[in-house]
Amino acid sequence: MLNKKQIDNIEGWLFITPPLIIFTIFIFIPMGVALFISLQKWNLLSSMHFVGIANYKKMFLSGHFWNSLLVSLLYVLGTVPVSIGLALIIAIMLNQSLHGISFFRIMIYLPVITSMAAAAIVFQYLFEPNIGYFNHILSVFGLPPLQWLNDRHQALIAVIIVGIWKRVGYNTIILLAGLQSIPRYYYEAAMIDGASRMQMVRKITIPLLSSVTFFVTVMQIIASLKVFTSIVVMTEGGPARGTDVLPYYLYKNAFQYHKMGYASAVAIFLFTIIFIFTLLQFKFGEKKVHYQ
Amino acid sequence: MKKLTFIVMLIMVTSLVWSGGSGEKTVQLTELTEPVTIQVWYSLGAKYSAPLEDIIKKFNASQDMITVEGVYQGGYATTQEKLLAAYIADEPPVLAQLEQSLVGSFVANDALVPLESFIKADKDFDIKDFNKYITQGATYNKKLYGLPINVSTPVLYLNRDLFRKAGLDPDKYPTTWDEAYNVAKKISDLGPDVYGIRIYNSGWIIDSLFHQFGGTIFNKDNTKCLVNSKEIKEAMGFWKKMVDDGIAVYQGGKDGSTMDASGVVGMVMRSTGSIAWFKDNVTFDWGVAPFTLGKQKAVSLGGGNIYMLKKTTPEEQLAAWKFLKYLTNTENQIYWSVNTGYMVSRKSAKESPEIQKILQEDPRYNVTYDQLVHAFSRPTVENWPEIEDIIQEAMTRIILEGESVDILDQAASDIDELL
Repeated sequence: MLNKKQIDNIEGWLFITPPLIIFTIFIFIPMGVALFISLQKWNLLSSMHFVGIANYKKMFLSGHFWNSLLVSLLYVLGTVPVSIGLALIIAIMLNQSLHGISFFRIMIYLPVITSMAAAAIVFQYLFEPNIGYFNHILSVFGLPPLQWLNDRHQALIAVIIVGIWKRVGYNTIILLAGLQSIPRYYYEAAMIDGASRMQMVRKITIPLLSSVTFFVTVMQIIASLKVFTSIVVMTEGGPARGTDVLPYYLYKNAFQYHKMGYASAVAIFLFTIIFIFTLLQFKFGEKKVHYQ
Repeated sequence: MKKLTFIVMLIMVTSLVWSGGSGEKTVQLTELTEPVTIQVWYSLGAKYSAPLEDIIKKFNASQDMITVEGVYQGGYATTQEKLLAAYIADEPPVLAQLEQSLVGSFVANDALVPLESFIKADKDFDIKDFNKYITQGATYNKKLYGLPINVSTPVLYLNRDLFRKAGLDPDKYPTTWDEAYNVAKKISDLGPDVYGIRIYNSGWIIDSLFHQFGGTIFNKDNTKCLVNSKEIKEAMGFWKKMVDDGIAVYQGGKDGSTMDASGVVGMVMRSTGSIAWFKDNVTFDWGVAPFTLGKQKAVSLGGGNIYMLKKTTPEEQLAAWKFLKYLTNTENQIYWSVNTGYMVSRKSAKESPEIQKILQEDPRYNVTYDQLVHAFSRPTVENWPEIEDIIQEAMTRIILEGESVDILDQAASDIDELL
């Protein structure tokens, strides 16, 4: 006879089996394969050679790898603060009980569900230096036209703008949910005490929103580290590797240069960074952040 | 830990199975006894795919043993990537179109069926009817691996309206880079948004440029990279000067095409096959001139050939050969060329009344044939996509970032490691 605890145990395993099978097939096995291939020299057509950690050594000695890491970090630095700051402002504005406010909530979420590939093509036209709309706007304000995607540094700014546009809606909705879980009576009490609007935002909203903000920040960092589609469509990593973010660098090495071993090593490196951020989320997400 | 060991073992076993290759077969041109369906993968989009699909339809209707399916696989690079993946999965199509410079890894890893034995066995097929400058593009280690489909060379497209506006005679096109510089300067003087020439770093264009200045990307045996040679540094320096002087614009891709169509570019080198594009997209008076500027008259062979893949059955290969023969026969070459502007590769097709009529009525089609004697084949080294990226990146840095041509020394040593 099974006791209650054992039955619970079996039940539990049965419940997590379906997702576990899916995770195993699509995540754990490919991860294991990537780790294995990262120790091989393999160009797809030839047979594999075991080379130990040579791929990792080559990676850390490669200037292109460090360039990609730098570009990825710049992309993260460019997208994370702006997209979260903007999302916070928009969330506070959308957190009103006005008639028809849900229309604006839907509007702000639209970019999130738009296909990135399609959006990137449209942005490519907007960024076009001669006939593009963005340069037209600049000229209205009397500013000189920019080269956008044709310049090494401006191209990164351009893809950062697209990244922000794409993610700000997602961040807004999460922050909005966080805002709505703050009890109204804190504000009522503050109002009775004569606090100003700004004081309420600083002393009530921001502290009580910190757990949600932290979550959004980590998710945004991870999403920014994984940026790929907009780069493929808009710049192909160029000009002169100016937007060659790590996932694109990895893709190019794997599927254009057919250096599977080396690309897997880069993939493992990228995985490690993202994993560290996930751990941070787990560890500090619970402790350091203020819950009501 | 045990689990991990198991997974690793599993992978090792699979990889052992993968590595089994396929041997050479001798060809016998027997008749097919059972119906066969074969696929041909191609990279020609938009208006270029329609004539090809027409030929496939005609072929399927002409007999009942073989059904050919044409599959569009995206651009040249995408097709190559997909083909490689299909080949590794042991399910390649039997025929595929590959761009001139993307064949290296397939040849190096013995993934293609040489066509010699089919040609020898087939009495109705005369390889001597093909232009030898064109078939050299599909010849590696003295063996013919593919037959031409969309072959082109880069020609110089001229905006004749801009020539006139700048006080130039549009019939007097430049024949050297110095002349090109002077012509481009006069055109760019028309205004700040007008450029004398549009340059860009597409592999086959810069390969032509290097040859014209007397340089080559590799030594004869493809064992050493020579992009840091005096000649190539001079070539890059010359283009950089044109951009610095404001007479050339360095712009590739879609934005480049947009510029060509909007009439702000005096000259641009593009594929023979772009004649159809110019006819559709351009409203100004345009002309075509040879792109044999420079000390050496040289243009690279562009476009693609159709290759036969290994890991397919003898029946499929036989069916593929029959289709290949049909696709490249005189009549279909004429049909293809008339509808696309690409070159015919058979002498009999070139001399046909249809093609002769076009060449006489519109001499712009002639230029590419005339300069064919100066055509050279693209390099077929295995790591070409990565090497091309290194060269293109160096070029962009030199022209746009103001770096010295001496960064080519670093590029050459990076490339040497890949050879």
